Amino acid sequence: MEEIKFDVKNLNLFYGDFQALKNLNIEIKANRVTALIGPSGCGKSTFLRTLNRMNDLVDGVKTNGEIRMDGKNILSDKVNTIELRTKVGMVFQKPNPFPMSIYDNIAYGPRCQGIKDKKVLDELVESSLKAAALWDDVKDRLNKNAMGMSGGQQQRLCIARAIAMKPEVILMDEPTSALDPIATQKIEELIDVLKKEYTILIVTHSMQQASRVSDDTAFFLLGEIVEFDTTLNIFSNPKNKKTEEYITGRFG
Amino acid sequence: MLKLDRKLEKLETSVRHMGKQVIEQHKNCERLFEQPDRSLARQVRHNDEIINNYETNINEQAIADIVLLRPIATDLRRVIVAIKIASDLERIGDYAKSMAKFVSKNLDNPATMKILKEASFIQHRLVIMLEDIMEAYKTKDVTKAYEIPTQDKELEALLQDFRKIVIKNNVADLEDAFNLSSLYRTIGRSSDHAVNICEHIVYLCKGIQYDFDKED
Repeated sequence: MEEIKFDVKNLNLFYGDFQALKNLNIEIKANRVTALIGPSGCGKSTFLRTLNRMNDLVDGVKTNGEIRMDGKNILSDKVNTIELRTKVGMVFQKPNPFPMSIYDNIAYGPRCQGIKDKKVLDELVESSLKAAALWDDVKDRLNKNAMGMSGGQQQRLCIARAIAMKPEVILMDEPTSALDPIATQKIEELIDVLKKEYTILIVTHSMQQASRVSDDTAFFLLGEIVEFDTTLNIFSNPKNKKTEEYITGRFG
Repeated sequence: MLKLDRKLEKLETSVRHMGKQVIEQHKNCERLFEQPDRSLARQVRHNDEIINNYETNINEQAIADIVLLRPIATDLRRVIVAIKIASDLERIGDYAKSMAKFVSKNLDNPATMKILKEASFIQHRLVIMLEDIMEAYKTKDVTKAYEIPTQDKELEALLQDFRKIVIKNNVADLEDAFNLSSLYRTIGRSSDHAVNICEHIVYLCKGIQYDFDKED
């Protein structure tokens, strides 16, 4: 039986008076790629950010319900969000490397956690860059500024930076929307490799990307999950008419 | 209307036109069974080329639609089903050609032509069945697609009876009986391919693979 990483029950989220997530119930399986799709403003990114409590940083957010990660409710006040965010890493739409060297970008997080040993950091930098399929590109210029890399390389650096924290889950919010097709393909290949070790959730506006990279797909609309099924079922024979209209570009 | 919708409509229209041609071929075969006619037989043989061209054209359209428009869900099924129906129609068309060939060969064989005439009502049943199927495809009528295969069973039973009559009554010599028997088989095989089309229509409408053979 497949292990459940996140068990979401009756999740509601409000931005002030506006309800952005409405009674969500979903089980995200471990070591699978789950795509979150839906039109802009449907709540998919908001949902993604509840999984590492990033919404806590927004003023006036109220959340209720349960998100159990490996059985433990991560919405509880007792949860250490710093610890949670090391376990649940995130990669954003636009590559956002720190304005420092490639090496320091990767080593930044581990150093904050108190790792000082140069040998340990060297190994971590190498293994993270290798896992992000970036090592061969940059191994000879680790001390160069990361801002000088191409967009695709920067995004893989951000993935490497997330991996260096040894997370269990990687959240990706439109990770390739700013990248060209070749860089996009590299990231998609990478996602396929990474899912062996990590649970991955990806928000994407590209139906092609959702169908290529994910195992499961959830279709969001107006803060609700309209349909959640294997990606094959969603893209070959969706049960809900709204899902079909959306994925075939006939929506609205 | 989306470009994809227009393209898929065009693709399905091509399949329907192909269906019309195939039905016309089988109607002509029915006429040939009733009233042997050398030039009509030649025309039927000749027209098979038109049907083959339809299939090639439908496949080309379908490939272009997949490559350029990347259909998914029901859209993808519409493309897949167009290819599959065209393939079955092409085979059904081939059988019309072999029927016409048979008639050309046996024009001067009154005993055979007499039996053929008696069998023309079975060929008529095939034509009706094909017309019903193409109508079900046009209207995407899944209920009809489930019902039509019973016509195949009835037709198969009629063919069985006829084979027995040919053999038992010794109405023809051995070679003629053998030839007639294989001609009936072409009617039966056409009907089998027609049932395949019903399966494709079920897949188109419901997204499930259905096998009518497994009903027995």
